Amino acid sequence: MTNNTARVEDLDGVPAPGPALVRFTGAAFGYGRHRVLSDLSFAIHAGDYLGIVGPNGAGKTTLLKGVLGVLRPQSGRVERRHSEGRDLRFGYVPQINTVDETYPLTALDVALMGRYGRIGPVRRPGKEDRQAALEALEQVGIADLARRLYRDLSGGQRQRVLMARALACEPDILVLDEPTNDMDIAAESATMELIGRLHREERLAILLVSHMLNLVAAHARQIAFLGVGRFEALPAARAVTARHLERLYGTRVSVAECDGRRVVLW
Amino acid sequence: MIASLLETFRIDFMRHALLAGLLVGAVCGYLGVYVVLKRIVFVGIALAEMSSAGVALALWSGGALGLAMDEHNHLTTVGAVAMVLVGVLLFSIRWSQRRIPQESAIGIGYAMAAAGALVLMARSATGEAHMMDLLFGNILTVSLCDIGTFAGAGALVVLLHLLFAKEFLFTSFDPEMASTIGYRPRRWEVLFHLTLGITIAFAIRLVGVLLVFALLIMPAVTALTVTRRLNRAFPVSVACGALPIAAGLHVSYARDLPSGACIVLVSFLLLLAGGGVSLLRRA
Ligand SMILES: Nc1ncnc2c1ncn2[C@@H]1O[C@H](COP(=O)(O)OP(=O)(O)OP(=O)(O)O)[C@@H](O)[C@H]1O
Ligand SMILES: [Mg+2]
Repeated sequence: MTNNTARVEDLDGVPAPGPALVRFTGAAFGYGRHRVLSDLSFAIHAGDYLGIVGPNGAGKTTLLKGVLGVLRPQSGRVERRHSEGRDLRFGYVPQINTVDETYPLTALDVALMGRYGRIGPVRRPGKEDRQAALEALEQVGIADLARRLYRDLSGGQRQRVLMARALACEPDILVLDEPTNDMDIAAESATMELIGRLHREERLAILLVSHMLNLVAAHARQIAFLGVGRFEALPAARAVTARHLERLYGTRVSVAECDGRRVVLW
Repeated sequence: MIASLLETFRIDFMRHALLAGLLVGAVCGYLGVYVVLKRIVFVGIALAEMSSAGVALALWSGGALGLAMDEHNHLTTVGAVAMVLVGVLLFSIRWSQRRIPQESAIGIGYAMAAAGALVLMARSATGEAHMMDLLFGNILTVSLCDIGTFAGAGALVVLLHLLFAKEFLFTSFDPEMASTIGYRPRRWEVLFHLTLGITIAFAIRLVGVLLVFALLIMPAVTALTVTRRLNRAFPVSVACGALPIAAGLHVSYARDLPSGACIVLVSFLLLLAGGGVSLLRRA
């Protein structure tokens, strides 16, 4: 069994990543007898921005569930540790279309749910929780929408509400499942911009899953491919090269640099 | 109008009916908001049917054992609650979800309960009359004892919901996110079904399947139509569950019409009025 967690060397002049928050060691996941992922070994460190790319059905969402602890490994180990010894806090941003739209909840109500994990049973959210939820909305730039109903918002605005809810947890890792699906290019770049800013300014570890290679290639600092070849997290500069991609996908690929971003053509 | 209303409720059994209706309307009004938002209207009627099958089972076995009539009363309570618990269990299991939608399990539960109740009734001595009471309710014959039992069960349900309002809301709105911050959504769902089942089991003994079912849906829909905030929908729905009771009972008494059906019709009028209000507001 190989260990793929060799520290990502620093290429962009950003400080090297901190201690491992989540570590998979030979972990396998599946549903009943149906094995989806096997022998996964990698780690997510404080300060990482890891993008996971893979075709539909490759097991990206399954992997996220493993990271979040919603799904237990069928074999191997998943360790979650915070350096201060407390439980690791995840800010989970689900796929937008998995959130129910019938409930007449305001953006603030939804963001406030991010605090529920810290409040404990029976007790109700207090003033400081409302304050934190409002600040989270502020952080994603939609404080003015706090009193609007979630269901009346546009797709991009809803995505921001879900991100605010994740931030209201005061997470150590932000976990995003296809955050820009169904978005127009303006909303998409604004969302990716926001994720990048949270990564840089709040030093949040980011785990981003998408089937869109170009999106991940342009923003993540480390990339892992799921469903093609061996799963390993590589620095973006090494993962997104024509040679590496051609080896993975077995098809002709070219990589161009455009506006400071890497663009993959195939 | 007021005078004749007061006149109606000067009569003992009408006062009991009013009390029973208000209690059932309020509790069902509250739970109904979840029933509508969680899209489990069908679970509501299936549980009601299961619980009336439980009553039928109790009546039949009581007859087979040769019990006296007042002993039947306790046995039917046990039967109703037991069958509702079976229903909750049945509907909480994830049957092979991928091939057959959960809803079909609920449908099968409903059909089996209805058929079972009919067969058992045909075999029991006091059958038919009781069956009619169960289906269409006879709010006019409720005893103070039955009301007390429901009040106890209802108080427990309301207490649970007041204490765990945020847990019930969060786990039903977004179970997946809830599970990432330490909640167990499946457990909350089972607990919700239990509170719903208990309410239904005791409520149909007072007012019958039809009225319970109507009170689980119509007040909530009215409330969700006229309010735009979830935290306001709950009290409004409770009010909409309780309001039509007096009017419905009064009409049924004055015109000699079936009481449960009158309450349902008045609830519907309230729903129409609510729809009208929200249309006007939007215009
Ligand atoms: N609840 C489940 N029960 C059984 N099998 C499942 C379940 N969820 C996913 N699978 C199977 O696991 C595999 C991976 O699914 P997963 O949802 O992780 O893929 P994905 O990479 O997220 O795909 P997409 O890009 O379409 O979102 C698929 O073959 C799918 O059929
Ligand atoms: Mg997926």
